[in-house]
Amino acid sequence: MTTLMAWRNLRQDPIRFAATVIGIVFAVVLISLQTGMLLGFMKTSAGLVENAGADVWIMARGTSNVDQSGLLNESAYYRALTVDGVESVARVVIQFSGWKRPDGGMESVILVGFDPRTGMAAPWNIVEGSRDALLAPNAVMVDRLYADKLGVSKLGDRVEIVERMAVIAGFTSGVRTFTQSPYVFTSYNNALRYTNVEHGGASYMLVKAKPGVEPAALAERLGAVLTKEEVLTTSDFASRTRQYWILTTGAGSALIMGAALGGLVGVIIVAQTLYSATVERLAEYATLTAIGAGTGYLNRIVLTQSLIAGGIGFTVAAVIASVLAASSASSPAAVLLPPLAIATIGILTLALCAIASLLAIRKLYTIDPTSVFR
Amino acid sequence: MIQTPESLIVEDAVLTYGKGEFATPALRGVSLTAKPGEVLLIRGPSGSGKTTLLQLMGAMKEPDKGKVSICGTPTTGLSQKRLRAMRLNRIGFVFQFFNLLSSLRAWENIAAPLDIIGMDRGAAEKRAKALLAEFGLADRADHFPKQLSGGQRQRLAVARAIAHDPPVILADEPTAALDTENGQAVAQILRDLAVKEGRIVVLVSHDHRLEPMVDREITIEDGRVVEERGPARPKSNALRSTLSALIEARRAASGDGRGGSGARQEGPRISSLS
Repeated sequence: MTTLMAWRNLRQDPIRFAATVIGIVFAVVLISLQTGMLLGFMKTSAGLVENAGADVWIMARGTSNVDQSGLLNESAYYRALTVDGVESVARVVIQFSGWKRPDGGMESVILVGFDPRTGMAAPWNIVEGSRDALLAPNAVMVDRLYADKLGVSKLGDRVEIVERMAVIAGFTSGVRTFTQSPYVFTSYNNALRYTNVEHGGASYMLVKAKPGVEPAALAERLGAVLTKEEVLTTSDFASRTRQYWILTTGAGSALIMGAALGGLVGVIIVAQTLYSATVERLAEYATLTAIGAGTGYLNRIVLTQSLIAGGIGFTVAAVIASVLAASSASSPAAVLLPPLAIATIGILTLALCAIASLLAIRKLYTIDPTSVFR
Repeated sequence: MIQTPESLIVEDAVLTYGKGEFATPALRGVSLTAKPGEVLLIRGPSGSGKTTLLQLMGAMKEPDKGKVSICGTPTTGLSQKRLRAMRLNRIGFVFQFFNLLSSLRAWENIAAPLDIIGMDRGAAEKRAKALLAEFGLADRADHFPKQLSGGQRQRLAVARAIAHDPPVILADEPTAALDTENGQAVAQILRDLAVKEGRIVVLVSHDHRLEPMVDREITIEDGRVVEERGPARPKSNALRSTLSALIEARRAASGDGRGGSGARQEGPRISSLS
């Protein structure tokens, strides 16, 4: 009967109920979008590392993220090949560069020169053209999300990269970058023409382990040989890259603060409306206490009210947030809301509503049953 | 007066609000006994201590001195939890302004104390609807309190008070908010709860219309009993033996001095009223 009373109490004041639910919806949508953006950034920032197909990355010491690295010389390549458990090693160039649009405007891009022989660091999610097309001189591939930004629309469009001609040979879909500089894929040999990297050198040496070889163990063995370089497994380098972009740039904390603010607003709205609703019904709660109801019985009514409001608010908010997340699929800033994230936010919403009910519950403890007599 | 274990007994109760120079004595040594099958009326001017006395008899607070015993169990020294349990098991309350739960339908209001006790919903609904029928409110079972007249609300409140079959009914100005016809009907119901069902009924009221319905009257002034009158209605030998049988049945049904449903009279308590 406590659930029935909770539901009827809410329904008896539809305006207050609606205001509570709307407040929760706004708060949960805000929390969901901030969380979704954070998850999107986490995926995007390390997307190149995780999609390169390598087990181990060799890089210049002190490299903080995949988009900004020093240079390795050719010897690192051959020394890596000597290590037991290495199946293949690929030279990969990843460097910021200048892109001149056909209309003359300049854009910053990140050039990714992959190794055609091993396929490591090659573009993924190719929707037009092919990986092999990038073997042609000056052939490059960009993502559809950034086509407008880069001033291209179709295969064969011509642009300039650091004053050298480049031809669009393909498009990917959903290959985002955390920075505002889109990835431009090309072959390793083409990349040498657009950068200051000498033949044989590279930004990274990507290592594929032989079947059955643990990447962590291989990275340790490589590290013992490549003492002047830094060697990390793919997962470690992805973590480092995420940490750099999400935490050190402040982007992550801004998103987390935004989500926390949403939660705080939600708690305040629910706490305030629930408290005032409880105060208005103190006489009825006192009657229940006089009859013999314990505080647990009364608490259940108030707690259930908050959970009902939270449940309805969350359901509406989850639909809105999911639609917004789906609509972000075609934008450079992805909002990722997988089912686990939505479920977690749902649990968080109910927990926050339960916390918000504490203020009203505290009021219940002050009820004096003798107040039922004038 | 014979004090049976089932009686509601107040012995030399003293209670003072505040301390030191702000101390306000509410009760200055009140003693009284209310027996099963008896309607006791407590009267007195405002501030005389009637409500405080009702709070003591309702196991809502303890006296500073003296003793209150409800059906053989003293309230002194009991925890709030035990006091709540005592209210829940032994006392039914009727209030001047009904104190119904606005969000619950009529039958749900009656089922509320049963839910608190832990009775399952089906049994509580059955019991509540049976009581509604007894009180002439069967066709109002699904109405909310605001959809009922004053008389219907008070009858509903009385039905709620006896839903869990308590041996003691405490009524605070039960007829003050009712017109004459409804007031008399409610007063008759309360009298029947005592006389026909062997409950203890204590009324606090200024309503003179209640006087013919009560067995004894106690007048309180300045926290003291200043007058005791009664019995106003000497019981016949037949009624005495009926009452004894009811009390015995209640004792046998509960085993702890509490009332049992076996003692309750079945059948309509009221036919038709607005």
